[in-house]
Amino acid sequence: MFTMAKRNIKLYFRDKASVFFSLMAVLVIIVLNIFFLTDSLNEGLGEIPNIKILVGTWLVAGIVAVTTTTTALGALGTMIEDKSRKIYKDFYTSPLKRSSLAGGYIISCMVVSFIMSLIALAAGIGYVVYLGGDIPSTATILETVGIILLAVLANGSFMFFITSLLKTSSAFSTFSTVVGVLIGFLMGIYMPAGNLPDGVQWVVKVFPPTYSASALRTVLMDDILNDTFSGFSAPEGYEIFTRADFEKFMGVNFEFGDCTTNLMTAIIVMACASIVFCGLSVISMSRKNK
Amino acid sequence: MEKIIEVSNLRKSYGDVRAVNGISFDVEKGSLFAFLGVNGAGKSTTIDIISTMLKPDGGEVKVGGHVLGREDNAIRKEIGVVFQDSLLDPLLTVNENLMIRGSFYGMSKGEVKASIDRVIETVGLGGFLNRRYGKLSGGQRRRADIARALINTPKILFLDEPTTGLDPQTRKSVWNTIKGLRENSGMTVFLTTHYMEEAAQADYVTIMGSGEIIAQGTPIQLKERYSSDMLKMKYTDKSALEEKLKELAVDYVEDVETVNVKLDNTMQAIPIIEACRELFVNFEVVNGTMDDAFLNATGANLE
Repeated sequence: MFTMAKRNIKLYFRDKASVFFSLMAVLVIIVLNIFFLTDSLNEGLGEIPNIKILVGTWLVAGIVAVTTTTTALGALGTMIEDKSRKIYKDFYTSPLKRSSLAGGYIISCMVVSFIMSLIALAAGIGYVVYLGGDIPSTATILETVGIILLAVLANGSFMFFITSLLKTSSAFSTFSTVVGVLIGFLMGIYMPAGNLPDGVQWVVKVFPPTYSASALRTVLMDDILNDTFSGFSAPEGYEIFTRADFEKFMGVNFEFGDCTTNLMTAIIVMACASIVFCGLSVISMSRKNK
Repeated sequence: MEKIIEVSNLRKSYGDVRAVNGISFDVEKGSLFAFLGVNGAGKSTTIDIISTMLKPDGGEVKVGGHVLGREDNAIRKEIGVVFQDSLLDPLLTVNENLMIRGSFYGMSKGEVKASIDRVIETVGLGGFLNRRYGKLSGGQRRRADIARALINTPKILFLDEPTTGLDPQTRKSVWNTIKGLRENSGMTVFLTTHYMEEAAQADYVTIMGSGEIIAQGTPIQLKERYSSDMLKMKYTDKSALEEKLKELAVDYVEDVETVNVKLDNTMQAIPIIEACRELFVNFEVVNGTMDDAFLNATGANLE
């Protein structure tokens, strides 16, 4: 199983195109932000002190969340390739357990996603420091890594489940493209969730991977939010004047009626998503193995 | 002789199509077994079943004494398969590929390495072991494929059209590798091919058509049964020659510039040549070939 995982990881990193395309969504987000988003956000929320660093950190959290999803999907390209090129024939005529084969794909997808997310986090912290922010405390970094691990489990198993239903390369690449384009909207990264129409906000709220973004924002932005909103009072007629408003607008947390989600909610959603999608994947894989 | 593969009453359908329709055959241990048939005859389905990839609808198969369906893993340990398409990873080196595939057989890293050293020598991979599989030429790839199939020292080697798509020279060298392998290890080789000169070197040939076995025997037996020797005479005067042949009461067919007489054996040609010696400018006696045998056996089935 671990040899297979190692093989899949090697195949992902040696295929430069697959690495590049699995980061496509991230590149789109970065470009969008450079040209439009950050400026308009900074303008709209300009009264808030540290707004540049705040929005920068918010962006980094979103990018890391997207990375957990899209790179997991990129790594699963190997599984589809094995299917479409009939490489599985070689595995099926060997005394390799089918469960080891499936396990190899899952492990490699999680490992790739984790490595790439850590790289994204490191680059993101560099960006925040460049904007003038502080390097997060060790505690924050450890917490973030913990959240990334959980996000990788949840989003990785979600992607694995869907990929296990696909057979051809073209179906898979279509799916990857759709994910690459939509994930930014669905996680509320192309624009803050608060800017989206109500209907779309609902979709964002019930899309499980959103909560990985939410959790990462909560953890990464906590310190700077504390700094910013202690002693800040918004000017008259200003739309966003409290921390709670800001958090809701930026998708740090979400409101269901009178309840507001928090870090714990996000962790529970991710844990449940991991369990549900792992279970569904097992069913889907064993059904195909007759 | 000991039987290493026993197939009886094997059946497999895809919907209404009966791909394999109750076939039975045995393969003797240590033999080179050629499995022939036109495309779509059910060869691949049969091989997929024997190599544990596909579940049959019915029938019994034993490979190396292990019952298919119950002891699949025991079978998988004893077989090696060279597939028609290349199934190694193009982005990995040959050595990496062999290390990964070798690990499937429950060998330790050291054992796999020792195994790779062994197959390198058998197959001749020395020069490109550390090159990426995807960058190799067709012949080198085939060698790597064979090396992969040999990594677990199999008792039975399945070769599914191993030389299709290779240039004649590479084909010959791949074929020599296979031959050398048999001479040195006494391995049983189960071969499918479209090249009759390869089938002619087999110990035993089985021909499939439309899901059934239509002929089996040694290459010599098949040639005797399904092809015939031929006397070809290039005539000077066509009608005179035809008249003479009618007089001798032999059957003939006309060809471009020649008249051909089917023979039971080459010796029969002598009296005919004697009788007609004035009437042709030259002649040749052609032995029946595996090509003829294959075409006649499968052609008869189509009718």
